[in-house]
Amino acid sequence: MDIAVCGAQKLYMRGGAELHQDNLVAALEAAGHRAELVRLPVAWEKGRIFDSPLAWRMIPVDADLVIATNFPSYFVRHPNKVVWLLHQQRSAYDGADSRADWSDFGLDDVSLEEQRQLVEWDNIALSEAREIFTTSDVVADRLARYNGLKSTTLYHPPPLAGQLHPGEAEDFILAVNRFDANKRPGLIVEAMAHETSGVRAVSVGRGVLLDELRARTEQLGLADRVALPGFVRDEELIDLFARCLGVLYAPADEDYGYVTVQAFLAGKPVITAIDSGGVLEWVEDGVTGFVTDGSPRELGRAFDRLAADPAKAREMGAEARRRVADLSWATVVERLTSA
Amino acid sequence: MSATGLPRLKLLIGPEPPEGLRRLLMGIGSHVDFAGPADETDRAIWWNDHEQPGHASRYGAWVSEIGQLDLPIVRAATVVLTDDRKVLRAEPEAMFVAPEPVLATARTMLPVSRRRLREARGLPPQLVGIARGPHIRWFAGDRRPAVDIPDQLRTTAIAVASAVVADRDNVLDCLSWATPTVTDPGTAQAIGATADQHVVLRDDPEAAVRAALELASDERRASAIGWAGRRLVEQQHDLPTAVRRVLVALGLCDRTSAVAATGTLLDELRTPPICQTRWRIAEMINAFTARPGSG
Repeated sequence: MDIAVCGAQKLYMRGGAELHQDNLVAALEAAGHRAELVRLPVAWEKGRIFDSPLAWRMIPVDADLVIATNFPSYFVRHPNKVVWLLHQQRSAYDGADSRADWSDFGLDDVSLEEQRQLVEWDNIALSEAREIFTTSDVVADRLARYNGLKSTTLYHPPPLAGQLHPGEAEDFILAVNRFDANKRPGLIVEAMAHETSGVRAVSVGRGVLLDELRARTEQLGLADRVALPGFVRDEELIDLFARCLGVLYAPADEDYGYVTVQAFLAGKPVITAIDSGGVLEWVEDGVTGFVTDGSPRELGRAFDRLAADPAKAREMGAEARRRVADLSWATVVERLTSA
Repeated sequence: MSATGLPRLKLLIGPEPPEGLRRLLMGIGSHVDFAGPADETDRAIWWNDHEQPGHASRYGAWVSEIGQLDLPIVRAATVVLTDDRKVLRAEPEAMFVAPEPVLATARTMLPVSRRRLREARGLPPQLVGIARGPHIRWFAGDRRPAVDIPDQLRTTAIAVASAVVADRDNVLDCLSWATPTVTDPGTAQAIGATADQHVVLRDDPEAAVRAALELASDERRASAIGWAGRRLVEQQHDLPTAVRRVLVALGLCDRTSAVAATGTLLDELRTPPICQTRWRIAEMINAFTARPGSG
């Protein structure tokens, strides 16, 4: 089958969505399909937000099947359209609803009408799909709550899935994040100020908050116990996952969160927060990790629990690994192409 | 294609066509040319005419009563058109053109947009409306009795309410605004609405109010019902939608064409006739036609 995978392109940015789309194309090709990735630039801010959806309506996409992955690529017009939704334009949904500082949809008249119109456009474009899948229950729940649309969650393996492996645990907690505010990369530093077991921390990733966190680590006198190496190569990341005691992943209302599943594939328990969204679809408190209130004190206490009982950490890691054993791209491809 | 540049459509219509068909043809009239030599087109609409559309490769057959579904000419039609619900039930693939038009200016207001609008206007977080006869009343939360809404604010009330109990006079207006709606079984049947899909059904007025309160408190259910209700109106009670569907079915416009006019695209996405988005698009198009600012 000739399949076009459609996704938005934010210029000069590359993150989870782009990786996801690349991996989907590779999986489709591995299954014998001819697959091509189609991307169009998107503007997220109010006022220009309708331009890219309209562009998607206009372009010819010649394929037997199109798979749209995110806003606004699902505006593509095709008689055989399937949506596998990573996310909508969250600034107009949960961002606007919670009056988040990252949403520019306030309560002024222009914002009210553009938000209303975007919901209607989304509903029309999404309703054209033969089936709507989502990458997590969190995304499915948003669709139900805000759009009144039903969808099916279809989980997929994260990047590096075939290479991650368990290893002998050492005395450090690993955090893997983009250093942006919504990922709450500062939590690991603040939590380390509360742990009492002497465990160390390694927090990898890059982003605008990295320098600030390095300064905060110095300020708290934790520089010898908290490593902030920045970006690390894949081989090193796989090794860190294998050697850590557990993984801290507590972003704000995450859609899916590759890090959780990567940690599970490496046989490691995950410490998270009650408001971390899709992470909670995986982490069961005391079984595959610890669900905390997200405060540095409770996170620090969770670090101590892992350090005090390595056998329990191993047991939780093994259970976590069992729970992701069935994730496969072959299943994803089968579901998407037979919808 | 005729001299007007519009595609030709042949009418094989017997005398005194039904009101629904007349209205549909008036809507189609601005997109096609009914005049000109008949042999220049192979698309037709037939109703009760002595002439058969046998030569037409695609034609729509208007059916006024269920017995006509068995006519060979109807069975061979590309699309069956009707304004009779019994026909629709017997032939679910038929295209329904409801006898009642709905408020053309109604916009889809799903619960999240309603809630934001209430907050912006300083209204209570939850408002339940009761629309019976010419008047609408509403109450906030459990603060009853309901207060009357002035007539000039009727539409606003329908657009911002969390949920509404509506009778036959009001139900289509409510659904056209995607209002989560509770109504009675007779009204639902009359408009082709399905229980728990397009509307919530309650026979007893007090039970209907309680159901509306429950709906107002359950945003996921309210979103699903509001959206499905709006879609019902679009598909069955909205003339421009019926016109577009007939044109597509007869191959007189191509929904998937990449060169479809932007105006049509915006219409299909239910974009209001006057809004920022249309102005922006007009500005872009005008840049090509050297008519800046004429929007």
